[in-house]
Amino acid sequence: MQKPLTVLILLIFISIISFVIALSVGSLPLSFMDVLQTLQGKGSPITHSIIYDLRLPRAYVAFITGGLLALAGMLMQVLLRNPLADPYILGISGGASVGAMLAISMGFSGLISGSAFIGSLISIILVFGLSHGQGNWNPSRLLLTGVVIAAGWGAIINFILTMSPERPLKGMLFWLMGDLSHAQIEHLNSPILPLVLITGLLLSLAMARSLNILAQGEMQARILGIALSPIRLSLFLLASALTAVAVTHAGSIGFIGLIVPHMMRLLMSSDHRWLAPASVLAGGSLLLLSDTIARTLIAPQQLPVGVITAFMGVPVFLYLLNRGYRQQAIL
Amino acid sequence: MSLLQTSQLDVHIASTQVCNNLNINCKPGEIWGILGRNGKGKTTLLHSFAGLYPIHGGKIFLQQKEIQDLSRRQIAQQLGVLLQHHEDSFPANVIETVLTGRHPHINHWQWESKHDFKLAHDALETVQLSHLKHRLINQLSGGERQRVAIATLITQNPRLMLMDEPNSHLDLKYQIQLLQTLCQEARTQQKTIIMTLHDLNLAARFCDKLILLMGEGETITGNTNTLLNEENLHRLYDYPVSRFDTDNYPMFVAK
Repeated sequence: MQKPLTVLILLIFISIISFVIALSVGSLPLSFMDVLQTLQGKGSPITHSIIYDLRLPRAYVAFITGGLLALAGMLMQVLLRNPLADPYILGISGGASVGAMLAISMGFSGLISGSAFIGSLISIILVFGLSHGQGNWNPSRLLLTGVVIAAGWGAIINFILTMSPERPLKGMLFWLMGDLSHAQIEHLNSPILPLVLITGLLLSLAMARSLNILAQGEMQARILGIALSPIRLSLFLLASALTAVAVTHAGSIGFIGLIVPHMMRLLMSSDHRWLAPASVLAGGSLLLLSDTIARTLIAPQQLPVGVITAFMGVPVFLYLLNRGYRQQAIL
Repeated sequence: MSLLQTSQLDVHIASTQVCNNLNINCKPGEIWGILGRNGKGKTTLLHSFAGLYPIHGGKIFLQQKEIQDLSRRQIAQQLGVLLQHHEDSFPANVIETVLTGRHPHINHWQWESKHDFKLAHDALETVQLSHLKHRLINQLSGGERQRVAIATLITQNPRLMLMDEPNSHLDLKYQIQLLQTLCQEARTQQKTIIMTLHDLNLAARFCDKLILLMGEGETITGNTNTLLNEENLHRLYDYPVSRFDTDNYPMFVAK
């Protein structure tokens, strides 16, 4: 069997196992059979409530957010042709953070998501308008514009944090580091998250072969028959939309979008037709497992999930990178 | 019948004029060379033939159709370019890279067919890199990377091949062997090659026609044998060159 296919099937299993773990682990541990029975509608009212009100919505939001971030990171890396690119590099999370923090500081906790989404949209339009202004739209200009805008948002965030009274401060910091504790049962019933993820994945797959060529440089892409402007624009808008939705639901969770696409490149293939679905599954599983650890490690206290993704992601990534280099040296 | 035709072509790089009123007509089976000093616009002229560089005046026709009216995909089905520099920030392996040459010929949702794989494997055979097909391209030497790029162009299989310094980084053996294979294929299958070259001896050996970029927009075009005289070459390179005629083709040595 082809190696990428093997990895993809393996990732599907890992995703399922991640869900089972996330649903079982917590202040009231449930056995695999309990989880299975409850999902079939045969569990006790308590397990039903634990799973459907608490663990499943959170696991569901975590998995999809992780998938969105990994996919967005993969697209950003090709768009900017920069291995260090992540979903937040163009300042989208900065705009969202400012929006969310304004809502928190004014006490409108119900408006956090909405105002974060508006913030990220403002940031997308700002970066697009400023880097597209003269019609000359190259990756380095886009990158510089995005980085400068991100720095600007960073300054505003620091300003709000400094001026903020003690009470909402912790909520703001959690949001900034990424937080999934807002996931509720409503998320299970709303079609937005899976719709965005599936549409994003399908659009990425539609562009995948072109992305393989774009990764070889824009000149080579034009030579092999790719019109640059439409694909650049689609990449930018798609990556931005995926990031905006992810950030709106879970705050700015770091590392997933940066390291998951690289992990998949090292593990399976640099062909985006494999890379896109693999990144979604791996990003989803990684965030789901991280969040499970974040809420159980020092329970009843919770850690921001971004801390765990960094703790898990950095060593895994360094190991893969090292392994990759060793293999190259042997070949 | 012509594969590539220019009419009153006018190309500038910033304030430098590359060519002014250039009229050429490249027919199937012909090998063309572009010669000139550094910075006189050899690469730019080659790129403008491919519609990759904006021209200032005149027209370029690809198989009788004006190149501006064609989509990049339509162009890529007939015209391939060998670039001088390769960007490998997300390296794929050799066979995947060579297969990208099929992109303009494959439909949107389609995967590469057995036929596409065969073309890629044959191309790797031609450039003698079959043993490295699973190697990542950033682990290749300069010459091997250049041969991967040539294999990609062969796999793309265009009727018009534009090659920028095809012999750069290549060992003597491959310089001659690969150019021989490509030129022979062009002649037998009615394709056209246009290439920039630094080596006068290779130009004399392989090219039927030449474009000499003299600078300030002046160009001289014509048959290789008549154009490569000592007087033209002295002006072209701003340095005296001796020509020695042998049984096969003339040889050139800088004085």
